[in-house]
Amino acid sequence: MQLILILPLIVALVAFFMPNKLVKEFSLAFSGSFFLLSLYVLFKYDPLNYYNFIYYNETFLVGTGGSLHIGLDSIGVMMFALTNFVIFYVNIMAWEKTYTRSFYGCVFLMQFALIGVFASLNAILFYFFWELALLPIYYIVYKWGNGKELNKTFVRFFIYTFVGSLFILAAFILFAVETKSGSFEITEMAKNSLTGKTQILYTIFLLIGFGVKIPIFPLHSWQPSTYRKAPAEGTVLLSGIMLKMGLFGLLRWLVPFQDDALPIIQKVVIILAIIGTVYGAIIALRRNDLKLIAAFSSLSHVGLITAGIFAYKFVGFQGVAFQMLVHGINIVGILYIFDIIERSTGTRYLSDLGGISSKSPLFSALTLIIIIGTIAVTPLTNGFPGEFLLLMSVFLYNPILGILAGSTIILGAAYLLRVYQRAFMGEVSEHVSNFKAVSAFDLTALGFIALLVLVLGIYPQFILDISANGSQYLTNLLELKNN
Amino acid sequence: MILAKILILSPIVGFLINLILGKKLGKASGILGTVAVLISFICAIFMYQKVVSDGAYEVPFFTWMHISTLHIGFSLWVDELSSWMMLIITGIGTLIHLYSIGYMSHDKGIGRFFAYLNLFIFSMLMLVLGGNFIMLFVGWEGVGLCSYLLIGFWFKNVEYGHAARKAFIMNRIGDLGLLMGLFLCIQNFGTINFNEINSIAAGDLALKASGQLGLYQPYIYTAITLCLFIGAMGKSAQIPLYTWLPDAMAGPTPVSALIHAATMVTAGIYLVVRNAALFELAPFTLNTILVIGMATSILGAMIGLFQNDIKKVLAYSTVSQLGLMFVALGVGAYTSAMFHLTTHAFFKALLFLGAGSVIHAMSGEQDILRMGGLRNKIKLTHLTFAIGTLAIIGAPFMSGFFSKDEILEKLYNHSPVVWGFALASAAITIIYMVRVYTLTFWGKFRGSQEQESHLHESPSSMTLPLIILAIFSIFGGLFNLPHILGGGLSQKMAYWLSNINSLKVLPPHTSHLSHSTEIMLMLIATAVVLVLGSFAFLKFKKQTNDQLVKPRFGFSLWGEKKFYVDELYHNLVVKPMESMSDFCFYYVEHYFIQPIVFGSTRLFYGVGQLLRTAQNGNIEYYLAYIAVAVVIILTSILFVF
Amino acid sequence: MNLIGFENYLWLASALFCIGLLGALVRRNVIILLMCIELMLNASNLLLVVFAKMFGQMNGHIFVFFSMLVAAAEVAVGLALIVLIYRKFKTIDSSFLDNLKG
Repeated sequence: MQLILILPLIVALVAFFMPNKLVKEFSLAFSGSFFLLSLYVLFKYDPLNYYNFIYYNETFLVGTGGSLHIGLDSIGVMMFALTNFVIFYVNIMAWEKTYTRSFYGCVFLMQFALIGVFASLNAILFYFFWELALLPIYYIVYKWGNGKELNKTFVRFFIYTFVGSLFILAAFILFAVETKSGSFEITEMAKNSLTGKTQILYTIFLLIGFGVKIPIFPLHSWQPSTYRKAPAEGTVLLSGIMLKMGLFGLLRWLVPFQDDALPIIQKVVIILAIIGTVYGAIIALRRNDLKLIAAFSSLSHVGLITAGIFAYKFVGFQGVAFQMLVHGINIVGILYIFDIIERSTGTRYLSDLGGISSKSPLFSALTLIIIIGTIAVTPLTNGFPGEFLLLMSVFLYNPILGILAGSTIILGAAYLLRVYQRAFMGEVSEHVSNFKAVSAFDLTALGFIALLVLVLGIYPQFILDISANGSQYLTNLLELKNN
Repeated sequence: MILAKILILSPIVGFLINLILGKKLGKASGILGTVAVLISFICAIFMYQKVVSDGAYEVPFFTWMHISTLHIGFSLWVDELSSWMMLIITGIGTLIHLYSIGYMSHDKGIGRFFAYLNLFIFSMLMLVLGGNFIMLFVGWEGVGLCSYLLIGFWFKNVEYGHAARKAFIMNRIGDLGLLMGLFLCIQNFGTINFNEINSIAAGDLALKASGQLGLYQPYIYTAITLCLFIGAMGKSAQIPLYTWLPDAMAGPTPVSALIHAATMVTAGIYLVVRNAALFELAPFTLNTILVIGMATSILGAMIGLFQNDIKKVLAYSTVSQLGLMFVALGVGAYTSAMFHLTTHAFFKALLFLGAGSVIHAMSGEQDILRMGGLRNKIKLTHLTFAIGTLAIIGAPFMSGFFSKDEILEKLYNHSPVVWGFALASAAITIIYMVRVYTLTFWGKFRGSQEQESHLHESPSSMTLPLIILAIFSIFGGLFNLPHILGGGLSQKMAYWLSNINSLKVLPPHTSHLSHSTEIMLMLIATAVVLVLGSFAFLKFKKQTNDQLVKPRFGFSLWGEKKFYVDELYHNLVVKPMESMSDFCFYYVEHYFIQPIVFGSTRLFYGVGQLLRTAQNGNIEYYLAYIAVAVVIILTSILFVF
Repeated sequence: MNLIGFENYLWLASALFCIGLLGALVRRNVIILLMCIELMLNASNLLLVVFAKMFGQMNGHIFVFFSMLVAAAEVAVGLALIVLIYRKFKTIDSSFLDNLKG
């Protein structure tokens, strides 16, 4: 089963050298089968047995502390499935466009790196995959992006996230040096603990490193311009899965090592995260560019997830795990919809849109389902369980912060319904008048997301069962260390 | 058990079929939707009988979410209150579905319409049948969503879209309150099950009655109930969150009748009654409810006085009547509020459907200034609308008479001042309702000739519900006759409803009004109705065209402009929010967030600039660096070691 | 050998090295540069031999053979480079040869 982790790399190498004509079908077929495979892994996952599916431990690079120690735990296996889902949808979205083989190669390389990030149990290996993930996405957004000053935007994005990553490496080295163990194995690391200033430094370094990628307010400045200029597939990769790398990193490499739980840092991060939640939602209220709305909506949603992590509660971790998955699904749906709109009308500015409902009722119905699912806390859609648990954890941490965070359920409804109303309702606008019919292919793909929105909303326990083990592990660890 | 499943699933099946096959079914979708709700209604009757015979019972479906100690079951709780609500929802729901077949027959989106209506029935059933707060919340959000979809049903109209969004967002403000109340329950009681919360509250009520301190601090109850009441405020359109309801009239008229008059807007009252024991422990909240309910009741009635859109008047009337129900809740008259809720559901649905019939006859005209003299053209509609008007103004022995009288009586018992205010609100109600009725059906026709030529009575699928509702509007009072009139049959509904867990535990009301006072109050109310009603009827009947259309000034202009509350909200909330959004995007992002990223790029750029001067390509310099470095290293070695 | 004293050899080597270094720093002619480098190299060779003699070990002698060999090769390559540079740039003034700057 461990071969699953290597497969994307092989596919990527093949894709790099394939003829351009065939690569589209090849990629779709492989990403689709990866997705099915990951569904199988997800269904077969036994929550009671921690790393029961994929586990491999081999020492290599003796002396550097690196080893090939990989395993998918409960939250990891969900992220693994999400990665394959997102990659599958990137390939679906690319179907109607003309991308060369290097695009597909990069996408699969990205998949390899992402799975590596979610599976690494060795800090150096984690860092390796973390950096590896940055290269293909940089290439994708730079090569296929559009807009002015591409170079400037994406070099900024690259340097910014790269500097962030350096903090992560610094934190790991600090850990190894300070605990004198010299080991980067998570199992070894868990046996040691940092104290005092070193721990604060470790926490802050990781917060900066992961915070850039998530992004936590106010480290998000790379996000809006990058989202706006990146190709739709790049945006999907960035918000669908790359920001989960940051959240996942916090869960795996920061939370277990919070020995004194550092109440002040906890408070500061939660407050920043909630500021980001409200701030992103407020900005999204008035934006005209659909992709900017997606960017700030993302900022708003992940802010809440970050707050949920730092509430250090079982319900919070459950909410985090669920919402990470759901946000991945929903934001892919939203960006897919925006992409279809842009393809069909040639514009992605709200002021130019209107009346799509009259042109394509089925498309707008699916959009409505996905939008309703993305609006926080609408029961029987997948947006409910995660956000509900997150809000609950924040509320239990501090009621005032809970109310502030809760304001997103109002603001989220306001900005998303604004999008729906402006773009889909009303009279048909000039740009929409020659709306190209949405293909059955796109509708099927969107329909599947809409189905996921409903299924996960009606029966969330399936996912909650899987993540319960990981959440319980983190909760126990924190309780153990704080007593 | 199986009945409950059919009850819940039937509308959902109707929804799915209508949604998927709506286009192909055409008009058949209306019949399908109606049958789906009718099946639910039949189930509801049987379930009601089961409750009558066996008492309350729970229907578990499956475990929805299970997070550590918190167990959220997808389960129904069928007791007196929920089965009563269930009957109202499915009963009136069936009638309104039937009515919609005729009303929407010309609309292309009829399949979609019935799909949404069925989804609404499902959500509303979830709301009242849910055994815990989460299930209630499921229904609560579901009905909000359906309300959004149905208000914006004619999606090409931008204004309607705005109204729909406004309704959804204002409801969301309430939902936040409800959610916070729910979290507070979890935090303090560790449960969200109504029965468990009730037993906790019952324990504290008992302790309090014996003069001891409760297990929980009083402020906890106050906080929880205030949060819940904010939720109720949003859904039941109370000050300050009432402005969405009049705008919601943008939806098709059956929707206004079903959602924005008879069922959804009463969810707030249901919520309070369901948790009456909690509210009883928080006197501050009850007083707040009393004050807000009263203010809403009077404000709604006053605005209604000056509106010319037939549906707007009815909408403000709904706001006002809901306010009255909250007043009743505020003095602890829970069953009276439920009684008024029931009769109000009958006559307000009747009035809305009647208004729909009028609008249908008038080819879409809603302005009462352009109507008049319709009583001879659409006789059946006129008759039923008249019955509805008589019921809502509380004409003697109509259903509204009994329910209003009961509330007034309870208010008088609480404090004569409150009674006075409520009576004033009722008096204004009489004037504006008689105004609407008279201007629509009496006098001369004031519309265009084309409209006059099209005037026609509605088809029987529309008039049948009117007749049935009219019968209930007349005799609805029989459910809960006052002591002095009913004898053995009196107060049936009150006795029955007080069996539910939250009301059972309340301390009995000790003071009762004497019979003479009761009769006196009843006579005063009757006198007010007769005097004001006939006065208004005569006044408006005589009004000529010129008098009607002349521009208003002063207070009545304020009233016509709805006291500028919408404008106030726009300037106080919406505009600052929008400027905040732009401020954040153009200033905060630019001057505060961007420098952080530019800082990191500039840092590296600057360091690079500094270092490149050293790398000038000239070999001597490199040699010199080496030499200097060697000297530095050597000397440092000399001095250090 | 003992007549002269070891420290004199050290002074001589230092002097040679400093002359070479100074020459390399101040002269612009690449051939002179090369000669100066040779001078420095030979200064260090001298030191190696002297120390080897002083401590009675063979390592120093062997190093010197190595470095003489390397120096010979270096001169060959260096002079060839200089010829090429002269052909391309028509100058062997090192201050003009600064194309490789950052």
